Amino acid sequence: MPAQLETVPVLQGTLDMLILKTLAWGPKHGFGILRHIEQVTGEELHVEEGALYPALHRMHRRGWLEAEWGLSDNNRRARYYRLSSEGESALREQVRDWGRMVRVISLVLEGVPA
Amino acid sequence: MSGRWAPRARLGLRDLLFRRDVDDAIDEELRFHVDARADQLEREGLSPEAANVESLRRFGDLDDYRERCRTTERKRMRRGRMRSRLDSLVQDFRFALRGAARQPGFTAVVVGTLALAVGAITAIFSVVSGVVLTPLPYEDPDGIMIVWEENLSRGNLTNVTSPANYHAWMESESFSEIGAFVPFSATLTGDGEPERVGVVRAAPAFFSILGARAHVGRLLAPGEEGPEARVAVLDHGFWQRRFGGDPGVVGRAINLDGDLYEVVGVLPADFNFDPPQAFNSTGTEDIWLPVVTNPAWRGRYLQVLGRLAPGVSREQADADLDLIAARYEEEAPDYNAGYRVNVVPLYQQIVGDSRALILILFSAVGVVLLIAAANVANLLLARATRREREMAVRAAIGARGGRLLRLLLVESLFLGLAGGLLGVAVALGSVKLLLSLGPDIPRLGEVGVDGTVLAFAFAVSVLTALLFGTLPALRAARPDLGTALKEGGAGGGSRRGIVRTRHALVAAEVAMSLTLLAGAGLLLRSFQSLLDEGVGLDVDRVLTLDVQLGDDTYTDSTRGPFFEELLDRIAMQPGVESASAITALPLSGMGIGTSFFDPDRPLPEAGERPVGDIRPVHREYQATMGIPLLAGRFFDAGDGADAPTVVVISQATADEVFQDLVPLGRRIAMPWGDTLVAEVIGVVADVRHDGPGTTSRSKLYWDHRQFADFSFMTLVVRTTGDPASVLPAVRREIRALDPDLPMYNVRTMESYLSDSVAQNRFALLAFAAFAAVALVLAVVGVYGVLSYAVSLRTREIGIRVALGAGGEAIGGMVLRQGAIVAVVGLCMGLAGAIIVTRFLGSLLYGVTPTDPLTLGFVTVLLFGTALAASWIPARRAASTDPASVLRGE
Repeated sequence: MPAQLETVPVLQGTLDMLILKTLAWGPKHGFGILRHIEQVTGEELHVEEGALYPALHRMHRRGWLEAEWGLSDNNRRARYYRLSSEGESALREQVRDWGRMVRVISLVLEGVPA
Repeated sequence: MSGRWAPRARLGLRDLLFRRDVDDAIDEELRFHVDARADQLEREGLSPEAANVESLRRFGDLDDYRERCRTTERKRMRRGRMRSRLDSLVQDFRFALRGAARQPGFTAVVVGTLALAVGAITAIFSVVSGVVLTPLPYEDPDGIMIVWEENLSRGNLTNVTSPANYHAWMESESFSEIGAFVPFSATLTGDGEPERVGVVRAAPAFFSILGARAHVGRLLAPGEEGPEARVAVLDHGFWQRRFGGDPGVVGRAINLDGDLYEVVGVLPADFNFDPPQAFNSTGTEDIWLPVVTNPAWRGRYLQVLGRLAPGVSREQADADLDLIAARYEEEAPDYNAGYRVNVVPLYQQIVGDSRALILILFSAVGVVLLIAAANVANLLLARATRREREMAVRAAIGARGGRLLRLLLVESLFLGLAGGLLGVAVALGSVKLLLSLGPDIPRLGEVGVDGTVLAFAFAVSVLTALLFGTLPALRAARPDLGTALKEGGAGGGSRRGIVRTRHALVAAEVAMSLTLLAGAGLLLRSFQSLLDEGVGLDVDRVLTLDVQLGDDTYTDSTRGPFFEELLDRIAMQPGVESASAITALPLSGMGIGTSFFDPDRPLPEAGERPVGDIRPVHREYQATMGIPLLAGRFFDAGDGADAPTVVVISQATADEVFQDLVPLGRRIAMPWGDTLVAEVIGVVADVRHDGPGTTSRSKLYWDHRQFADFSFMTLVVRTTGDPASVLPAVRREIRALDPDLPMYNVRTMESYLSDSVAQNRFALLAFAAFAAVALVLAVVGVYGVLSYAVSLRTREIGIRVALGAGGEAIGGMVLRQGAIVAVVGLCMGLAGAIIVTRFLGSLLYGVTPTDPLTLGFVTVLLFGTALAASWIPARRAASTDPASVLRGE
């Protein structure tokens, strides 16, 4: 299996975090998650859309997400994901780590050359 | 798009069905996304076609993402299924535990029975594992051989060899290495008390063949042999005991029999090698010295270890050395005629005969396990009838047959594992007990309850559980709903079936018990005939101890007078009836032999001369040991060093060399130094040197004063009371004559005899224990099945009594039933016993495997026991009160 996401761990971790954060607003199907991210970022963040699904299934298997089938706005069967309590704590942890990383990287980037 | 949804290959049917759901779901999920995106793009103004293409492009590698989702999903489902299976198994186990706790009596009987049986078989398996299955603790042990000479005329397959022949063997290319060794004993002086120590002289190759490495210092270096190599290697245990494990001992000198040897190293703690044959040994290997051999020496005293060259088989090596033997036979027929070479794998040499005994015991204990399993199956069947209703209710409310079956099997498994767990405790105790019995089995140090043994106990527990659990479970899981649910539905057809099954099980138990009892009986008879036959001397109240005179302090002319005076002094001590001495005590495992002939008749061919045991003795030997004198006289004070050389021969010797001639006054010659010729002055009865049940070889007794080149003797002291009571006096007399002389191997003749039949006694004890357990289980079985049958027929019996049948008739009916079961079992058992007792083979002595007396006795015993077990249910049936029965159960 080509593990392109695993070889870019920052991106993978970021995607997980974005998904978790999006779901923190309420249950959504995959397309809904993507639309949300597009709308919030003004379509600046470019994600290959299919990459969302392995991430969703992986987090489902890990117990971070719960999944069930429901009806979409146009009355089609769609798979809805919901944040589990484990998912919530995973999100908190990831956001904390992200914040720490951003601070550290900013220190390096904004520092004045000696 | 659908063309891209290709099915996957390599799927099992079950997975195929299951996977399709999962795969379909993923497909639907992804398709929803692609469609939703296309819809959105269409709404933004793209044509339907363009929207679709753009949506797929944005999605990326659809196949790849789908595949990754599937993989994740499968993993999730697999774990889920495992968890639910485990959950229901845990549920079943809880159920079993509750059931077991509800019926503590039943559970205790079942678990106890199983613990005994599993414990017994696990204990015996630990012996099988440690002795038979585990490879010898040497490097590449399969290639290690012991090389014996084969003495054709004497039928001795394990004869020691001579340095001359050993050196000839070294030329063979069948062996990559070959190394001789000789066990003996020596007196260690200096550094504290003088001590008799076990010594083995060995060639350097001996250690490299075994793959031994030094714990401290080094072992013997290549070429380190011969009289000039004054170095010593210490055994680990001896090093600990005598030198407190001090590594500084390396480089120091030790004094052995007056000679100094430099300690060069210590063997590791796990090194152990028991020489197969020992002469004048302490039974321990404390110190290893370089072997001394000379190609010119032709006397036989060496044992030889060899490692097969790569690719050479034992047979090839054997044939190769036989060719060499044929060559040296031609060169020196006087010494080598009639000798061939016998190459024996070390494993076979060490484990050899014990293997058969161990496997016999393992089979016997396997039968005990089968009986136990039959008994437990029996109990479960009885319970199954009581639980018929419970099962029927479960079935009626929708439990499937398979689920019920599994529930019942898990119950059995629970009982089996509980029994197994307790059985391991029983095994630990039994192994300890077994080792404390000190059976004559090699490698006992390697016997213990280890991982392999535990795995065996677990496997046996599970298998046993399946064995005893399947039949009852199959019966109980198919309840007859109609009759079982009806109020008071007794005596249904399935119950009759259960009674029949149970009778068959009990009959089988009786049959198996009979074979074990027959085995025990035959071993008892064999043991008795071994003891009755004895060894041809009176072993009661005889103290024995070994004395070795140092070569540095005694000469040929002083050894004889020393023993004469010592024995005269000991004979005068209170409590001593008579005192004497012999070189190579019967039953001690030692031996010296050579060929002999009648010098006054034509000399037989070199290889056809009889070979006899040479026994220098003190003149009181025959009287002290109670060996019957058949003709002439034994030695007396007049047969001293300067008197004419005389010899006393055994009956077997007379038969072999003189046939029907009168032996007294004839002469015997043997090659001993120069040829030794002596006049026969007496004939004594035969003594079985190797123990009861062995053949008595020809013996030639010599007066030690006329045979002075032996510095070693075993003193034999017949006492009026307890042999141990004269020991202080004996010690005092030895000290008085030579304060530095260590005495060792202090024992009684009786203990030698006891050791010589240790293997038979061990087999007997083990079989007796197994047979006793089997008997008890069979009794419980008979009792249980009859009680059950009576309880089922209470109503019928009540009616019979009401109709006028007497108590005696009713009791007789039950007894008859017990008798029938017993007789059927006994017939099967007799047939079985006749077939299997022959496998006791070499353990039997003086009795045939189908000895009618033994078989008859155990049959009657078992029949009587079965009837006695039937007695209580019969009494109960006979005293049935019809009124209470008919009023309504």
